[in-house]
Amino acid sequence: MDLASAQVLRAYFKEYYFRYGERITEPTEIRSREFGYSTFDGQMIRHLSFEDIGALRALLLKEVPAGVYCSNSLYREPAAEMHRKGWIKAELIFDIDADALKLPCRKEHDFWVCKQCGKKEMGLRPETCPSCRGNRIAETKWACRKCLEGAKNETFKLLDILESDFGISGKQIQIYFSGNAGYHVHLAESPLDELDQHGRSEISDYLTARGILPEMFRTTKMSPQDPGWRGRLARKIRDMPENDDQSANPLKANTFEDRVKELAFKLSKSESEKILLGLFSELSVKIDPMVTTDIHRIFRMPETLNNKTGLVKKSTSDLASFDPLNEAVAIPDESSRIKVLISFAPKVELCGSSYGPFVENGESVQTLPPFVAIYLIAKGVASIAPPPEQSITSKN
Amino acid sequence: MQFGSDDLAKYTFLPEAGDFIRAQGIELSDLSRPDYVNVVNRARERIVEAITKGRVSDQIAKNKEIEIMSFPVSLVLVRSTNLDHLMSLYAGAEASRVEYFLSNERNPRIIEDIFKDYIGVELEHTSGKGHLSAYYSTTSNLFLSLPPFRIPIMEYLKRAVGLRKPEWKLVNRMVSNGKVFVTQEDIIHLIREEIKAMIYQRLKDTKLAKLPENLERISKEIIKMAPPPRESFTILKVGPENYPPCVREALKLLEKGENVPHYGRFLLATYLLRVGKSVDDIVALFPKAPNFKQNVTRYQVEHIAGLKGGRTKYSVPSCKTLQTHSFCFMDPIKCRGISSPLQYPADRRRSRMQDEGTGRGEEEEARKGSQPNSNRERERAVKRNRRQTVDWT
Repeated sequence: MDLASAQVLRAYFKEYYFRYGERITEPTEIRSREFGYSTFDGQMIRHLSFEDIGALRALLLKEVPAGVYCSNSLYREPAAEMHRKGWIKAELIFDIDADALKLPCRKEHDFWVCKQCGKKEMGLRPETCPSCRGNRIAETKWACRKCLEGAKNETFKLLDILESDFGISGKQIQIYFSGNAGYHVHLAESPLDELDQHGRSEISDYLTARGILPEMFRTTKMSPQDPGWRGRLARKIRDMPENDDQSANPLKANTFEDRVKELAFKLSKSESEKILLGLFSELSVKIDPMVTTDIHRIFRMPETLNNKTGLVKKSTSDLASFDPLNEAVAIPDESSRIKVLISFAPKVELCGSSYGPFVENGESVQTLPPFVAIYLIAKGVASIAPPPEQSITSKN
Repeated sequence: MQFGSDDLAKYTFLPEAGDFIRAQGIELSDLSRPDYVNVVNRARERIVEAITKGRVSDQIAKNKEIEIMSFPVSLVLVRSTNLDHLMSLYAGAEASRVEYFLSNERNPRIIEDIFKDYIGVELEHTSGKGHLSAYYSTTSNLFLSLPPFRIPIMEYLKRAVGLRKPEWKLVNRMVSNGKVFVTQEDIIHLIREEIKAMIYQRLKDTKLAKLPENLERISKEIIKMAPPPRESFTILKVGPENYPPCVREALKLLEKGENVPHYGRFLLATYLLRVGKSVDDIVALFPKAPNFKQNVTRYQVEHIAGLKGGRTKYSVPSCKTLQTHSFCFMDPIKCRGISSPLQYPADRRRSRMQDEGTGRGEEEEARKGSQPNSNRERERAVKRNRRQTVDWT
């Protein structure tokens, strides 16, 4: 990112923290947590600790970080080196990212750039550039409304298992839009806080159905009222559409009882297990296992800005009605405009309006509301135009 | 609840068994008297069984008091040897005995009380609570009937994560409302290590005091009989053709100049150090890696080797840890049943024995190598034993 664009981005972040810094609330047991932040020139500063949220807010205004992070772990010495911190416990965190869902809409908005010949095209990254046959290809992911809806649906699947199987009450569950392409779910004060990374891996495997033994489910002793995976599978089998030539239903039978018998007795073991694993794959939650199992991570703080988009990591208490492309816009001010030079960008939808796509040959100059310009700059597809010096708004 | 002498003879590790002995007002010095010859003999027998069979027998002597009293005497004897590996072995052998009795226990209240008071796990009965169809499979015997107990997920996971069979994975358990359904056998299996740890701790907490002459004699006898300790950092002789797939994957990525994730690098360094490679050999593998900085890599490898930083010599990560960090590239045959990349290939020991025609596996060689050390340790222990004396608890 060029200097002028970075400065505009930084100024926008500073304004956000100046106006809305009070929205960042103090994490519980703040003195036992590790904090860190990244700068706009790519540095990462970790192993910080704060006495109270005031000290952190002061840092935000002074340093204007690109990203602000806080550990889900509590430590005896949060500012010490990692192996001397003295881990106490950590909230469980789940990360759902639209990209992991591999939705078909990716083809409509992800794009790639060949670093060798400069060719740009919408769609998934090819193995080699069709133009120059080079393999140094950079890929840019984009999250559209469909992607975010997909991530939201995945979050609902997660919430169902957390509540019904793990017995976590709704009050303990905090849901956040990540500020980019998905959702973070934090469990506050859950009985699972003391799990080590192996225990967390088991939780993650439970949610993703990794390592599930399909032979355990080749049984007619299965009811939609059963708890856990069995009941979930039974409900899925019951609710599958009737089999006709067009449907993707792999089972021939049309009643729940007959379908279960088909799986248990009629189909061969390998056929039946293949179908069962397919069903588990649909039912499983596509969380990022690394995020859940790592107990030494620091996570973007709620109500701070995501430097990949300029959007807020936003808390939501009503996921169904939450619209991230509206509610996570940091400063929804449309009274001013910023002139940017866009290299290549799919459509952007923010605050109820859509902008672009900007996919003409060569770069285009566009005058856009600040939050749209910031989004494109943060995504690395636009820069301040022209000339960069005149657009510097920050005094820093 | 009150445990009877029958119960205490089975579950001799319970504090109530100690109360029973204290009530008799016996001193350590009393054990040299002929009245206690049977107690001392059974104590010796317990230890001999542990050393030779790996398990203390489950036959309860006709006289329950002898069984109850012989346990703390055996603790004093094992403690007096000062051999840490013997303490561990003995704790495991006593735990196996307890496991046998718990598995055959007909009185559910005893099970519940032991679990609640000494393991800290509250067992919740499942029968009659809501609709639960029988949990069994047509093709396996994993759950033949509705599991009778439920325990909190946390209590389950604390104990089950170390178990390798896939049936123990949480995803293969019936989980509802924060609880995991378990059978009596499941729970006993789950707490096996804890009982061992409890007995080991009892051994550690046993104070040293002067032993009467007859016990002193047995203590020396046990020291001679004790197996040598396991060497934890023996150099393994493994050629590159027998490196496990995870190590080969890390090497392949390095060779291609691609990034090796943190855990892959950690595995590579710990594994290669264990198979006898030097820090220089290992650092020399990295130059093609993106962002390679020789001095940083060298520091990291030296740190892992225990030469820098906290001076901890790091162990090779287990297969489970590698799976957790998505760096397991399992070979379905050669990785079967192994829990550490060091055990790869699964049939290495057998094939080595055949190749060499010696009938002696690597571990046995390692033991042979460590024999003089263990003899020295025994001599030191005997000297310590003379200096320190054992206290009756």
